[in-house]
Amino acid sequence: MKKTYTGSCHCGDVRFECDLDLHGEHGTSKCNCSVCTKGRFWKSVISANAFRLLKGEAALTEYRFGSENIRHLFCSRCGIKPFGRGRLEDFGEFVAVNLATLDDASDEELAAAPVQYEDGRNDRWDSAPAETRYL
Amino acid sequence: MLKPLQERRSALHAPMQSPLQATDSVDAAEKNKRTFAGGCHCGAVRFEVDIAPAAQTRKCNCSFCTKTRFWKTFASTADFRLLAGADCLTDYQFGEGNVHHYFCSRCGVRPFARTETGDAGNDLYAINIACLEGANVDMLRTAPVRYEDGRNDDWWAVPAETQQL
Repeated sequence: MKKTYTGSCHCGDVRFECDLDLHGEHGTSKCNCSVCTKGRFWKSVISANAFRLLKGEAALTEYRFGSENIRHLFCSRCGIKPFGRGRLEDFGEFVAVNLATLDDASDEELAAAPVQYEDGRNDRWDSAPAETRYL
Repeated sequence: MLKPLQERRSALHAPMQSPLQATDSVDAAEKNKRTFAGGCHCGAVRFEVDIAPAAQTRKCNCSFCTKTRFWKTFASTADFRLLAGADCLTDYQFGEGNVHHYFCSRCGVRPFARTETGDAGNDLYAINIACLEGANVDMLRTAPVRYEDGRNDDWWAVPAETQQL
């Protein structure tokens, strides 16, 4: 079921709202690429239309690497990464919401969400890596 | 003036017994320590740390650890060497302000945090397991995780739900 969630960084400078279905349409994913591994990034990818930044655009620092297609954003004051932005050929503008920053998703709700694993390290986004426990 | 010992320890995530005593024999653990390399994503921050392969790793459900999914193991200041990037670290503090939650100002990755006890010899580094590199990191990643109920200031209790951490 699609729900509207509120999320934020830790210091409160960045706040957002998003409409997503953790258990259905969007699901959740974890990737083993270099940046997702170091950030233990656990995400739902949603359309940019389903995302509303309530405050903090100016507080965000942008980090890009590699092909520089994805804008990795973090709060300049507390360092939390609430979301990233990018564009996919067949999807259009998207936002990758960091599920750990949702303030009104319960522990149980998150724990029960299905997780798709992605072998981003080897550029095989459709396959699960051999080891996923540390993600 | 220093706060009462119990209060300081609680706020530091540091339990009543030393978190470094992860094995039966501290001496044996000292001898077995291995050097791990680690860093942020962009490469600005680099460090080395000596950790016993049997060291306990921890995940906590406090407001901050939840948002970063911080997965840590403790190391003494004597076992930690910052090789590069001191000038790139942003220091974030909240609450009692006795933990330096560092992150790289360029890429946002947080390779470690440091406790502040007022006595440098007792300070600890909380090393981010996710930021360690090399094949031998698997020893730490596959070790049993200790979960901490930091949200309720009950560091020795396991939270009801831990899967999301």
